[in-house]
Amino acid sequence: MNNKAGDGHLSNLTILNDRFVFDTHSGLFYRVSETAAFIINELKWRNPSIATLTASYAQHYGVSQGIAERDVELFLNDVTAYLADSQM
Amino acid sequence: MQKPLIIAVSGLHRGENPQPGSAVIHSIRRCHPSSLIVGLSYDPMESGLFCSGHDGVEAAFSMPFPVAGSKALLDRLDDIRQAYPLDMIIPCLDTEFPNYIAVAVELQARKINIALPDDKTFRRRSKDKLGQLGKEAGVIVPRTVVASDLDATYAACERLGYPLYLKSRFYEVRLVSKPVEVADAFRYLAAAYGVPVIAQAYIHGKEEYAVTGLGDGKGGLVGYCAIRKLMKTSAGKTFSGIVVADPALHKHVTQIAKVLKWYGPFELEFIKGQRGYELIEVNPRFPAWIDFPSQIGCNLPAALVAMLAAYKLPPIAPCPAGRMFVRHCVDLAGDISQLAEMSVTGTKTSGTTKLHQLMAAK
Repeated sequence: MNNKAGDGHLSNLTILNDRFVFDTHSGLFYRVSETAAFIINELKWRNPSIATLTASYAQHYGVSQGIAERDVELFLNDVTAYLADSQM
Repeated sequence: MQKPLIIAVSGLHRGENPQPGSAVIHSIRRCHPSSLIVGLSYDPMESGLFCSGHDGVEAAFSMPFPVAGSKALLDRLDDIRQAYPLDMIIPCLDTEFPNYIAVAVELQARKINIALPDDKTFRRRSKDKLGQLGKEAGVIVPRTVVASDLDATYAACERLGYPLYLKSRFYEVRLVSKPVEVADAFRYLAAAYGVPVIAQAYIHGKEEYAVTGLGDGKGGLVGYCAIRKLMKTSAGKTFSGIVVADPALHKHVTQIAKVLKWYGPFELEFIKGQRGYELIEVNPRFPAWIDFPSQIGCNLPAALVAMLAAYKLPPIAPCPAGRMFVRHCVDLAGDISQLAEMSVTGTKTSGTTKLHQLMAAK
C-alpha cells in the first residue's frame, strides 16, 4: 500500500450526518462507525500519509500510537478486502 | 402562446409491473397542463383508465394488439382522429414500435408527430444485435446467442455456460441455472413473445443501473438521468433508485446516443461486473420511473412534447447524485360502469368538454 493514503476515489464520497457515506459514482452507501468516519474524513479532506493519519487518530481519540496504528491498519485492510470482494 | 395539444399515450397500467404511460402523462402535465391526454389501451382493466388525477386520461380508446399489424393500428388511429385530432403519439410499449415505424410516413401525412427511430436503428438496439452495438460504442455487452428453437437454445446454453439468462425479444427474462430448467423457460418465452429467444451470459455483479434519456436524433442528448436500482419487485421491476454521477457511465450513455443518433426516448440497462459496466438492454421508450427525474428538474416527457411541437425546450437540469425515489402504490376507486363502457364500446369519453374548449383555442 502506498505511504500516501487517500489516493483513488474519495472525491466521490459524500459524508452525511457524520456517519453515512454515499458514493456518488456507484450509488452505494454505508453506515460507518465513528472511528471509520473520522478516518474517511481525514483521507478525503487532508489526504495525509499513513503516519500523519495515525498521529491524528491517536491525538483525536487520546490513544497510544500503537493502538492508533492497529486501528487504522485494520480499517484500511477491511476497506481493501471489501473493495476486492465487490469486484468479484 | 403555446397552443394546447392533444397527446396520445399508451402503457397505462400501473400495477405490479408498471407500464410507463401514466408516469409519462404526469410528467407532461407538470409542464403542459392544458394538454388533453388520450389513452391508447389494450385492456379495460388498465389502472390508468380509472385515474382522475394528474396521471389519468381525459379519453381512452381500445387498441388492436400489435400482432394485428400496422394497417389495423392505422385504421384505429383514423377512428380516434375523428373525435380527437391527435397532435402527437408517445408509445410506451416495446411491442408497439415495429407497427409505428411501419406507418411513420402515414402518420406524418396525417400531421401526427411521433419520435421514432428508423427501422435500421431500431434493429441495431435489439437484444440479438447488442453485441455489435457494444463494439461500435465501446461498451461491453455480455456474450449473447440467439436461438430459434429448443435444440438451439440448449446448444446456446451449453456454449455460454450456466447460470445464464434466457430473454424474449421484448419483455421478461428467466434465470436458468441448469439444463433441466431450459425447456420450461424456452416454452414460456416462446409462447408469450415468439421466437427467437436470446441466451445471455450471466454477469457476476451485484449492482444494476438504469439510464433514461431523450435523444435529439443528431447524436446528442437533450437530457438523461442515471440511477442505481435500490429495490426491485419480484418481477424484476425497479421499485426504488438513487441518482449516480459516474463519469464512466456518462461516457457510455453519450457514446451510445452518438453511435445510434437516437431520436426520442430511451432506457439503457447495465450491470456492473468485474469488467465494469455491461450493457444488457436498450429500450426504445421511457421507463416506468420517468416521473422521478421530472420531479427534480429533468422533465424528459415534457421536453419530448416540446420537441415534437417545435416549442422552446424546457430547461433540463442535470440530476444531482443522491436524489432518490421509492415507488408508492395507491388504490383507485372506480365503478363497474367505467369497466363496462371501456369493455363494450372500447372508448372512455369523459374529456368531451375539455376537447371542445381545446379545439376552440386551437
